Amino acid sequence: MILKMSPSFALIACCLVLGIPPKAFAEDAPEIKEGILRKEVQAQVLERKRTVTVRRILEHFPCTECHEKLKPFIKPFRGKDPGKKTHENLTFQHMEEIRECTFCHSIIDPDRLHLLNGDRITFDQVPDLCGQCHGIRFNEWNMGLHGEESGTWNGPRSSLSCTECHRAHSPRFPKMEAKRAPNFPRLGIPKEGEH
Amino acid sequence: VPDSLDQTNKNKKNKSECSPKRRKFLKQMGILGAGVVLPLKNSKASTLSWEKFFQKHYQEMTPEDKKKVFARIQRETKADYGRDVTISDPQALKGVKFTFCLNLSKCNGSRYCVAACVKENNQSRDPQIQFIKVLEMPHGTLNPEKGNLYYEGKSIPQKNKFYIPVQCNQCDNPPCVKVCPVKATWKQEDGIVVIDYDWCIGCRYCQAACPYEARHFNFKAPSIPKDEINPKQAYLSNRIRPKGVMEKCHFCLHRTREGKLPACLEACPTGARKFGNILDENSVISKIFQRKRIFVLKEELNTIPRFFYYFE
Repeated sequence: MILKMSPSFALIACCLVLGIPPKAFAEDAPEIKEGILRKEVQAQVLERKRTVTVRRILEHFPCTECHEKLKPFIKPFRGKDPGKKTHENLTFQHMEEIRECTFCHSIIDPDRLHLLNGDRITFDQVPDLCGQCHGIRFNEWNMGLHGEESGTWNGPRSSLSCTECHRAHSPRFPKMEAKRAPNFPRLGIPKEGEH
Repeated sequence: VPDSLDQTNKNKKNKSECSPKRRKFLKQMGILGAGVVLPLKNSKASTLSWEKFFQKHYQEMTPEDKKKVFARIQRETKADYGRDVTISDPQALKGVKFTFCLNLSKCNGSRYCVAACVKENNQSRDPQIQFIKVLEMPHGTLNPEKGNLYYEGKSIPQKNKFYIPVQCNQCDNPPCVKVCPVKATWKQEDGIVVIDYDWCIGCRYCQAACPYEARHFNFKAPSIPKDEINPKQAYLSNRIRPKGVMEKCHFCLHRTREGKLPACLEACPTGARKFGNILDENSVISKIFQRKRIFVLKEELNTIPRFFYYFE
């Protein structure tokens, strides 16, 4: 039924169903705004001499290969290549009661994310997006209290973007394998568990 | 009575005349003895040599002395380990008090810091010496005796456990410095307790005095694979230690005094470690002090550590 409708009507209907502000679906898409952080890979954050490094540059993920602009869900998810099921292996463990792609991913331009106010951002501006809910963490990260850092202790330092350490769809920090334990000093005392 | 006084005075005079001769004789004998004991040509470069025997304490060395000593160490390392190294001598910074903070809610006990420290500081692989000890603790206690140092972890952090990395606390009231009989260890201006490895006599008093088990003794000359030797070395920090001396964490002073961050911090996968200058209001450390509830280990011993822990 949706297929018979005009695209604009379908979008507005979609928007009503999903409860996303209609601003995000304006027909003539506005230019992509720069997030609070930056457009380039590195930029200065506020007055502090701190930069954000992105190890794996993911500014532009080619979602549009399958999902068409402005109507990503009108066509089936499989897109142009029906054999390609890219989202099959995706584990999603974050806000499972919502479970809605378009909460973060933009519908107008599937290559971008969108904030709650409708601004569209690139994938490496993701701290703005996460900071909408995790405000305390975002502030701490901005001050340098949260997350891995490199650089210098007195001058410029760079920290990593959220998705460098946390997986985007299951953000809990994964379990790791510890490095080797130190050797047990053999002074005739058996190690616990041995005899 | 006056006669006896005269006699004692005479005796004193005699003694004062005698003693310089005696001292001179002893000195000469000492040098002769040293000549007999010390081999003229060493089989291994790092064994006791003339230069090393008459080397001064680090704080008494002139820049020229330092040059000679560093050249000797470079030569010996080349002979013993077959690797060209550079010995630097970064001086203590003024207006800086280095402080470490560690977020125990974040630490997952992966021991990445230990591995990075071993590599950075040229620590002996066999016998094993590690500056950082990571203790696996059960919930509900901070008593290090309940911790397990030898845990194996396929998937860490484990349930109902937390992890405390312990290393040198760089105390402001350091018991290890007080007990050293030869003043081979002392506290520098920026808060780091350093050791002059060539002045240390290996009595291990400091190891007994340290309540954090931060000090380690080189029972053997360290064995390090040639490829893994870190060639950027400093006299007071990560140069390869001789046999029979103490060593401990020094906040990577060869890195931090040049503005870099310690190796353990850069290796930490969770970002639990934070390092900076407590005298700077805008530093990360100051912000942690303002916002978090920090604590130190064994506060009751009044060692006043520079290494702080906090939970979130």
